[in-house]
Amino acid sequence: MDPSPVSPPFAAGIEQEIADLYEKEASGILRYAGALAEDPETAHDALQEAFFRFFLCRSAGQSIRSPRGWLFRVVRNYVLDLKRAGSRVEAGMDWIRTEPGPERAAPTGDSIFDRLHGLPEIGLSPREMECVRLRTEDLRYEEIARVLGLQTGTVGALLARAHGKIRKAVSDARSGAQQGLRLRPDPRE
Amino acid sequence: MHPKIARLIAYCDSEAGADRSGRIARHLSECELCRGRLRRIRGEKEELSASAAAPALDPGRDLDAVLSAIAAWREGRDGGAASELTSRLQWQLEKYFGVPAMRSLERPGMRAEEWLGEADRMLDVFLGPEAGEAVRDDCLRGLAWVRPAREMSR
Repeated sequence: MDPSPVSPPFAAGIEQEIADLYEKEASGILRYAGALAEDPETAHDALQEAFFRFFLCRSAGQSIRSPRGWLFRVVRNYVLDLKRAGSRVEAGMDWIRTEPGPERAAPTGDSIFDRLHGLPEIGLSPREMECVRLRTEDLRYEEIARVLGLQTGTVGALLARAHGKIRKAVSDARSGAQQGLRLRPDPRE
Repeated sequence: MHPKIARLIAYCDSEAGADRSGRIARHLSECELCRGRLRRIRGEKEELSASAAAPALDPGRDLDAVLSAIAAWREGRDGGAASELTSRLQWQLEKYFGVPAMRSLERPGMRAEEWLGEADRMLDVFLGPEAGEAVRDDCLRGLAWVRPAREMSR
């Protein structure tokens, strides 16, 4: 859930504060950065730079109301800046529909996620995908809105739209699979 | 009347607000159709969260890199990033408040994070927190601390 607001620190405590925050949030932030950048090195750089900027801002006496949302926002901006600059990060936020990489578990069952896996296109816009992704990291709508630069109400609307598209994709996948079964020639024929 | 899907999703995420949550809970107690919708929403969220929760990358090495970069920063080994940040902040302060205002903030031996603190206060008060944040982001954009610190320590 939303971590407590952080107020200006005593200098000696900043590293400890960063270590504590890191322990709680780093995995989720790195997962998000990895999905956004689709490049592990960029994801690690983004995570490290975000925590360093957090140190800088806290050293400057800033109060950061939602450190988690703040870190996600910095990571996102960092990755998007690199993309705009045309660096090694080129792909988009395709986490929901890409083939599993070596570091992502391959689908093993019949879950919704598995059904979505491998679908060439389910029609989620980049913003919808980011909202879904940030929601799975347990960010509050207000935090998602801050990360993406949206109104809080827009986040709810985007999630609802994404939900509709995912439902449709799942149902299409199901009916496609059923049709596939029907269309497959009977070996006895 | 059934709640819209967006409201059920918000309810599922504890984002619907107390009043609306109460109304939705009362409706759910009487409506099997909406209970089914909510179950589906919850199920999908759990599946997506479980998929996302797989450890894609190992963050173990990153904290050491951050703490090393902080130590290097404190010792003044920043590869010029501190002076670049100071210049950018001074430029922004000049742009928004004029040279005399910027100079009035200056103290001998002022560090980049102190400039950042002064700029924060000025920008927040006069431009508002969101615009202040945008200007601050602009100052920090493209500056890298951790990778250069890592490379210098090799």
